[in-house]
Amino acid sequence: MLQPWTKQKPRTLTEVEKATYEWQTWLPGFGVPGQELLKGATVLISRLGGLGSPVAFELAAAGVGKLILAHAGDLKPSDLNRQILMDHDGLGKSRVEAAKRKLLALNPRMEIEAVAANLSQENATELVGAADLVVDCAPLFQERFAMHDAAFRMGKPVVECAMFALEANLTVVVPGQTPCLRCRIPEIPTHWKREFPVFGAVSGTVGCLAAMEAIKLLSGLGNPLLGRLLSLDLMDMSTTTLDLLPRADCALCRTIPS
Amino acid sequence: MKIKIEFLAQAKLAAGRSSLSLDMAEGCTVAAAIHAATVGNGALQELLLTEDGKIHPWVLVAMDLQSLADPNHQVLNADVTLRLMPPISGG
Repeated sequence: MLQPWTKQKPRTLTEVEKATYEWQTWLPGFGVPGQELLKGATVLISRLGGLGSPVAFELAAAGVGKLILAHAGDLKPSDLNRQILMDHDGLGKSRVEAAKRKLLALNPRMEIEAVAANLSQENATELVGAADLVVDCAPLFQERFAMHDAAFRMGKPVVECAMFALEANLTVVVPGQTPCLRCRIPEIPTHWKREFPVFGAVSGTVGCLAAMEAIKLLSGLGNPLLGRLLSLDLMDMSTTTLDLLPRADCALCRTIPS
Repeated sequence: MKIKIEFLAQAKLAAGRSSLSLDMAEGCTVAAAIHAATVGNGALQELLLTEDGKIHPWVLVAMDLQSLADPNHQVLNADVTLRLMPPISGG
């Protein structure tokens, strides 16, 4: 069933696409109509690091029509334990261009807009405005706020994922229907450090789950994590799902007319 | 009354453990329990509490499976599990 946040128009599949996505279109509740909605969709992925790489790869494999990839900078050796769209030949070269090549090798039918810049207050409106859905994989909370604020103003859903050590979080923010990012994190956390311990298998796990949430949101499949936060601990393979409450004094949510 | 505190992400690292059981007085607040859990551990206290003893606004505090909108003033229930989750991000 289509949800209020499904705004994109379905696009008819070619015979090659019908053959490519045959196994997933067998899924009840998804089928060819779900695949056509994926083909009609544009997804913005903010950064292609440990989280964004598997998100982009799985969305390309699933047949999303267009990805906007935003990531500045060149590849460093310490990126290679988790940034699975990159390889050793790409060291010192643009991350976003390496990612585009890898994704088009997997899915040459899709469109990719590679933006060699990170999300910021300056470009968030343009980049978020061009997408039907945003997947937040950014490392800095300044980027996350810029992205979520723009998505909130434009009524766009955001799949938000995060990781630390062997732990990971995943939730879905839909403006007006769920608590927003600023309900949970009203200001920049002073303790957060840009570099932290993590395995690629952890970011890969939550990245794949985030891609599945994006597919569900775009196609109307299943029950996305609206207002719920999935917390994974791969150290003991435990999972907890928390119900999130809005913050009464949230500066962003208060901007919605009652 | 008995309660359990679970530390997540950086809080687990700072605590050096994933959980802790505490015996708290009835009617005390969540903030008081967190203060009790951080006594003697400056790094954990700094991560979770402000200098004036309030919970940092960005720390997600859940009582059992429900996040708390105002954990500084929330009164503890008996036998609950408090989950303390400083924000994490990507990279």
